[in-house]
Amino acid sequence: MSGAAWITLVLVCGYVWGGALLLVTIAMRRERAKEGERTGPRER
Amino acid sequence: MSVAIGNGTGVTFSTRWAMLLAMLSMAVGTGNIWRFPRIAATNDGGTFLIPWAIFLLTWSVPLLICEFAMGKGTRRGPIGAFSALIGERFAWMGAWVALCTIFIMFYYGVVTGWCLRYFTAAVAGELPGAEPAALWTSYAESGWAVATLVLSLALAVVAVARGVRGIEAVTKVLMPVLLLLVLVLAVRAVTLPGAERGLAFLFTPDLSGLGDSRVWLEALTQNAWDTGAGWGLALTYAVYLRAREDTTINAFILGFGNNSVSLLAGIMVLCTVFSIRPDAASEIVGAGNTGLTFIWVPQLFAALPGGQLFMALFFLALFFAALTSLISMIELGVRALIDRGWTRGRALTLVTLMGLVAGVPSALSMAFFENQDNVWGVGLMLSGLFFAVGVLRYGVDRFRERFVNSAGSDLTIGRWWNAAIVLVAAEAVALLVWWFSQTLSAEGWRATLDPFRSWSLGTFLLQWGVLLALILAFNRGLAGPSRPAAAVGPAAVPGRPE
Repeated sequence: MSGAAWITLVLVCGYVWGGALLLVTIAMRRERAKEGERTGPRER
Repeated sequence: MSVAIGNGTGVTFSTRWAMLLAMLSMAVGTGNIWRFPRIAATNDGGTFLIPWAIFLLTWSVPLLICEFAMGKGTRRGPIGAFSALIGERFAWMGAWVALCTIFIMFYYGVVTGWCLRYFTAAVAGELPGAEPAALWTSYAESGWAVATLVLSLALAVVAVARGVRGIEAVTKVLMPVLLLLVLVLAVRAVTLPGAERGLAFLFTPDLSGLGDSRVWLEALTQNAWDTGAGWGLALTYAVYLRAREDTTINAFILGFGNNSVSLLAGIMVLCTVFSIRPDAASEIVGAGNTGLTFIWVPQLFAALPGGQLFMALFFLALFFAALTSLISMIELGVRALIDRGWTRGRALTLVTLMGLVAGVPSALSMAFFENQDNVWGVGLMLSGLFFAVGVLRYGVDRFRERFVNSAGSDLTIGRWWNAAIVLVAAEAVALLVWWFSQTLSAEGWRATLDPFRSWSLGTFLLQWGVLLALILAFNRGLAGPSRPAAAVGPAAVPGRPE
């Protein structure tokens, strides 16, 4: 594979797969925060 | 626990993840697995990926945000949503969106049946056979294709009959299995000897190719096809969003998640092709969707150690992808009738019978199938345009503030989305004008106006014209009677132009 092919592979896969993973991570964190708001602070 | 939100049933997706799996199952279909690798390969691979990545953000995601917001904001299917948003005079726009997708559903049931037949053939060891095309020749256009159409519709009906919870239960199982299958097959493909030739083909860019408008056209139509943006399907599932569900990040996840599967499928198919038959690579990817999938794929897998297992997994993945997309198309039709006061049972019976009767010609004639695939596939450009026009007429700022940046939204979107919606409209118009002019210059007036060819301007204009004339003539009937205002969420959409 040429250098240009490697660069395209990293950029395109990073953009599409990395973007999807990043977005799912953000959604998980937001969902956890919403869940916390709904249930309120837990007593120890 | 579900909350009463006025979608006619009070039932919503149980969790965000269940909703996202259902949305993804709607978007991931045969367009990802058989169309993307072929289109990428015939448009210079790496060169094609650049506009494909750009259109994800300038076509698919803005339209998906629009669909999520319209479905959640109006709690109605496409016809009711357009009526509620911009007035009953524009119900025909929603009818175009809905009917275009329903016409696709008519032949998509046939495609689902093909995938099911090939899965059973792979399991039974019938593939590839002494003559590679023998099964396809004897099966396509025969009564067996009708039988598998019936079976596919029956399986989809089981899911839709139980409503959103039935859809959720099915997609929660099928979608993770589908993702796992595609991942396993992609890993298997990149570990084959010579697979790097496939990767090099897919990822080597030729920047001079970016001057070719055809590459941009193909990248846009591929995004329209495989993300499901502009089909009205995301809108239909968004009717069942929880009251405080996010819009923007979910739409982004759907677009990026869907294209992630396409990229995996591209790697899977092209690495396999270049590893096993590098000498025939251009012939294989040029064989069309059905030629590549139903004639070449069995031969390729047969050459692999353990090929029958991987062949069965490939067709199982393809069948799951097709079935879950078929489910969403049937639900769109059912939802439109429920909005008019029908019960789910009656609506499902009518939509299924229509799918069966109107699907038979496509099952028995490849020429008819290809004609319908062309006419309604390109018709999706108009659907995307109508979504953009609907938002522009309502007022993009108002739409963004009231429907997108609403309660529960995880991310507030700014004015860039206004520009993105204008761009979607411009892209749709430019694409249609460009396509018309190319067809005219390539074939001349006489040939391209012939309405009885599978691919001609004449057949497009005739069928689109008949549909538009009918929905405009019956626009008043389309708009009502609908569910009583009290049961429709935001009863009167705020700020609607009169």
